[in-house]
Amino acid sequence: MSGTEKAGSGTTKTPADFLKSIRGRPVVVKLNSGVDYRGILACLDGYMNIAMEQTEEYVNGQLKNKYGDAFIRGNNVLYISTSKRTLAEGA
Amino acid sequence: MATIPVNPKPFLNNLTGKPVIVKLKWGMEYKGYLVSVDSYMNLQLANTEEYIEGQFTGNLGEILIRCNNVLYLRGVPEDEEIEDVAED
Repeated sequence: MSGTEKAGSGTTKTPADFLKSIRGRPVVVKLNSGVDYRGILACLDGYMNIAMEQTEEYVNGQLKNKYGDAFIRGNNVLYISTSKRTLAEGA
Repeated sequence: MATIPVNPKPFLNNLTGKPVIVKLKWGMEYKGYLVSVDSYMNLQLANTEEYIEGQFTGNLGEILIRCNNVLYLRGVPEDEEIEDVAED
């Protein structure tokens, strides 16, 4: 990961900085419905609308669909995670 | 300290860098280090663990939780066991 980013570092960081830093990286996006989307984060905006590449859809840990590109409307997003271990795990 | 009023934003800023548990409206809980917050109260956590119905379900690493999902956030003493959460 990007190392310790605690308050003691004196750097002012926000969630938006985190989002900028993960562009182009593999991410897991979890929606309110519980569905996970795993792929490469191509682009996102301030509403947390997300464009992803090489996207895989997992429902209850089972791969259901693959999309070359996917667009997710921001209001559905529960969290965005960069953990590679999650990519390797089923749910 | 307990007698001094603390407003929400200073409360959140004081918790950055410390372990917290975030409970979502949908019941899940996320335990990790609070890295940053913004004016919407989106939350960035590091070393995050997910708990569903008090049961550990996985390590998520660094995550950003979208603000609309948050029910509450609370600080966690370093030695607090997660079983306390199940008692909520």
